[in-house]
Amino acid sequence: MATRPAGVYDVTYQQDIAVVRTLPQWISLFIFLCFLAVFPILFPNRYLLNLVNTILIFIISAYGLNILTGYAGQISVGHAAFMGVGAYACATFMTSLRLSFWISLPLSGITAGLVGILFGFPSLRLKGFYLAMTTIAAQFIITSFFLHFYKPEVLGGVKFLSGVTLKPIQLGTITFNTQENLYYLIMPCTVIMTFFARNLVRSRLGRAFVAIRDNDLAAEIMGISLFHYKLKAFFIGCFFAGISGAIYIAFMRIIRPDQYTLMDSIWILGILIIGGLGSHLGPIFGVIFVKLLDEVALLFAPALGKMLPAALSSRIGASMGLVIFGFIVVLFLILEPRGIAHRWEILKGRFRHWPFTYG
Amino acid sequence: MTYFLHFLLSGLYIGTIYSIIALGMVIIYKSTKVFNFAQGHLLMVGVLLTATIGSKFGVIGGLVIGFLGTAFLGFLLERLTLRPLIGQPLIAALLMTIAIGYLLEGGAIMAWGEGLYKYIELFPAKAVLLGKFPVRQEILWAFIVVIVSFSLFGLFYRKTLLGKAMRATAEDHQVSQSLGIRVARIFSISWVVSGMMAFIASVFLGNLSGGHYLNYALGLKAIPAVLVGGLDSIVGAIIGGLIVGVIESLVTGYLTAELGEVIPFIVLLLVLLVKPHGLFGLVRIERV
Amino acid sequence: MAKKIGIIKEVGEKINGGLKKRRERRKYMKRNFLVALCLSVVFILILSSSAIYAQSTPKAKEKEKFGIAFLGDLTGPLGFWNAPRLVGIQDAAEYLNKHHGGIANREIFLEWADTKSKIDIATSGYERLKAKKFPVWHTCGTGEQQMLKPRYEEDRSQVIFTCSTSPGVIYPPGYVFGTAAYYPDEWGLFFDWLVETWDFKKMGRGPKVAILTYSSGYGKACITDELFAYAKKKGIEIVDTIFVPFVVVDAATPLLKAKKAGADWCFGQWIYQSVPPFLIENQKLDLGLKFAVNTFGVDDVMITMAKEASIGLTGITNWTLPWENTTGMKIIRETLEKKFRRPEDRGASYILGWMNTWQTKMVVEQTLKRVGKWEKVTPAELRKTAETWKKVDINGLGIMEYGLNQRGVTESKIVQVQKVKVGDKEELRWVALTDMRKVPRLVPPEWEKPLPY
Repeated sequence: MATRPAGVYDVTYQQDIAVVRTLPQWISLFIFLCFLAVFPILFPNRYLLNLVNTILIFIISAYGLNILTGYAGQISVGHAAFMGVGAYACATFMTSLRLSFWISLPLSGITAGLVGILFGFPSLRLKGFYLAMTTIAAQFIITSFFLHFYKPEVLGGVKFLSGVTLKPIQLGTITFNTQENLYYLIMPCTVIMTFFARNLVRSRLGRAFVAIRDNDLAAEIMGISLFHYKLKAFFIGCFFAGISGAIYIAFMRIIRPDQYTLMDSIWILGILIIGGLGSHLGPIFGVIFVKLLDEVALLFAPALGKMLPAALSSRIGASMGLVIFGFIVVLFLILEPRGIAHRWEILKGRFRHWPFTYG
Repeated sequence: MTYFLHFLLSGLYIGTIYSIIALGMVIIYKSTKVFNFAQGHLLMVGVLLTATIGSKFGVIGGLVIGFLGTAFLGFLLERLTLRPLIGQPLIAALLMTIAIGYLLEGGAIMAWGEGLYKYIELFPAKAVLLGKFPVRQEILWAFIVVIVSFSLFGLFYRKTLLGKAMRATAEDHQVSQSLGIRVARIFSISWVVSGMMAFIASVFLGNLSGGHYLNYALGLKAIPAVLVGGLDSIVGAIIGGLIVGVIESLVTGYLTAELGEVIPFIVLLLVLLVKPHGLFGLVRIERV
Repeated sequence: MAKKIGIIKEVGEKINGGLKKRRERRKYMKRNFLVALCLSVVFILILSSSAIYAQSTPKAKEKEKFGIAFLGDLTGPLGFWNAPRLVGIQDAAEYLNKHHGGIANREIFLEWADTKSKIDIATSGYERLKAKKFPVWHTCGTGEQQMLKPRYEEDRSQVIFTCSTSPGVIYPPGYVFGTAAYYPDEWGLFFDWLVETWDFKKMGRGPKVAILTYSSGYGKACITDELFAYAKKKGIEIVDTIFVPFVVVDAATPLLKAKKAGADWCFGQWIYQSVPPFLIENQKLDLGLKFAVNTFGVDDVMITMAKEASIGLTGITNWTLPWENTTGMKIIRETLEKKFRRPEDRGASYILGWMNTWQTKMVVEQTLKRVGKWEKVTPAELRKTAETWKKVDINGLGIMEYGLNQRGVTESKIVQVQKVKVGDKEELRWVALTDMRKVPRLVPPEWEKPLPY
């Protein structure tokens, strides 16, 4: 387990499961939150804020999958489709039912959670790999549904447009259509959802999930009802995905059916694995690492292309981006398959018991 | 009535392609317990290799080099990227195959560019007439190739010593290791054989749509075929592939194409709900 | 018995010893590599943050050069269309720099960003390129353009020549200009021609067409209510709408479906990669269906790929055909020969790259002449100049026509692949069947109002 700071020991149960233990930790948490709050003022670069907003949205989604796959052990390769469900639910509530965004946000999370329960039923009979495959089936079925069977007129769109543009969100007099405004919309949501996820796994529900992950037959014998807890895991995981999807369309201001592909689902799982499956900070590390890597690959591609003659520039430049991305992920998996969070723990431990090598 | 036969026939054709891809995935899964998401990418490399080399060195040269190249690529992938992951959680190996897919895609674009390559002319354009019903030559060849390759592989798997070693590895790695079978070598061999299967499928794919870096999408479409039949069953690979191909073709023909795209996955869900390990998969008894 | 135990012990030690050594070696190797990985992660973070900052500050010395931005899908499903276009733009920029000194004596250079057909990558690419303040952009990809259009019209920071003339991209008329007729208009013209050449007496009924197209934004751009109403007005029956994937695996089933519905013609928004399988399948199964493509399907690569099966393929275009001897086409042919490009790379998108670059040169030089100074050449001025173009010939590559509420051309001609005698050889090529005719205007009226400057 992780090493504690010296002189810190637990006497009560609350201390044992506490997230923030010492006063310095509280102070650094407070400073960090202040930094988040003034981030757009310190760095008003539009491109950077766009990137940070995207990262924040995917952190919410990754936390959902972390609860579902990392803690409850139900491998789900259909997470992007549930984000799509949340997105479409939010858009439908806002346009057809004319609810405000603030009401349709939690409602769309709940809708995505319910759809997640529907596709989570096979988890009661299937395990591991075959469950992952039913979630792939869910991914394709849901995407096909939105691509072909969901009439854009319901969303106020036109028949032939595959995407529907939505009006920016309003809160009183503030319109959320600049990157700074959107940052102040997204950041509190991410903080709240992270707080929610972190506390969920400390509770009885979280312990039940971990028991199911480790050995579900033994858990059933101990009295944890697999039926209830597995479906709850799907609900919560897809709730997070739904919220993330709804915020995403508020950010993009367009909803398109072909943006939630299998590759996106697989990459969210990949983000989790790189960050550390089933760990507390894993989703954050994973999302930041992968999104930054993506951006660097995309930046690198034209720079490389400029150095080459015309016919090869897009060919080699653009594909170099793919190659670098794949190569770094491959290297990562070979060297640290347990994720960045594992290395982070080891690093923290090193600092704590320095100058000893272990303690 | 003729339309039904036409749809059935193209369904069987696409089904045979699915079953060859499925066989490749099943071989790898049986030996290494890793699901190969990059099977479609192996196909893509096979098509592009054969198309480019075939246009310079003739049909036979293209086929031979494509065959050897794809088999060698399978060997290389296993040796470099999957060998270090032995013993790590399976989900890492899964992600590794996906990352390999990305690498192969980027590498294919780098080597061959984004354009379309004309595939070598293997089958004559005229259709053979059975009675009054035109049957394209590729379909007959596809059936023959599938039957021959499956029977050859089945014979290899059952009768030869190496095949028995592969079956033992598929059962239990540790037991086979302790009996003296070099498990790592069996892994390499199964990837090489899977590469060969990918090449066979790529011949028909190239004939259909030419050499192109987007050919890897077919690997993803074959996933329902693999799972319906059962991930560790070779018979299941054929039957699953044919069922999925025929259902997809019939639904596309008689209903809409959109439903046809999604029906393999609906069938997959239904089959998995009824038989959780696929139609012919091995049912494993779990012990606490 | 003792001997067996001895042998087993020996084997056990050998295996154990080897494993232990390997484990230790691996541990040290792992530690070193992990340090290297941590350092590389830190390095990537530093590199990325510096790159992000580098994007935001426009470099002063770039003022002497003229930059064009290209935003399109280079490694995703539309990569095979956009990559030759990028090569075309680069070749054209090189030619202009060498022979004309660039655009108004400023050397042209190109910046591009890959979108992979995904809107989040497209958005970040847009933000990145926007910071460089290029006045003219070339883009492609209906889906991303439809998504970015509100941002283009809000930011008003560039004039865009795009290759998709879909609804929601070039209409409502704003800063985005197309290079062909609005897609539904093109098909309206095709319907006109079809009805004219249809032998009603012999067939005893009107023509029946099936729509066979992609399910993406680009593919669905021709399925508008106005087009259906127009077809009904002309007496054409649209029997079926069939969606096909980008990479065609099963060409027989959609064709058979169309045939079953009774279609004579199949049309759709295809590009060169998907059509040859259908043509070849049509020939093999002897179905007798006829195919029609839009401007971006009028491509020599169709003929190269499908050969004899492509006879009868009909298209609608306002561009010059690739074999014609206008100045622009001759320059393109010379460049292709000089650079040894494959026949498969000499398609319509390559010509489009050249065309867009010539358009950029013309619009910038005309605006400069009008306003006098480079500082006054703003996107709004460029837009005003482009709107004055009435039947402007882009160096012999095509005729463009814009207006206050016009972002696509109003005239096109019908072309078809036929076998013609060239000299003493028989060759397959695109032949014009009609002159340039006015296309019917099928834009919904509420979309014709121009957006503010």
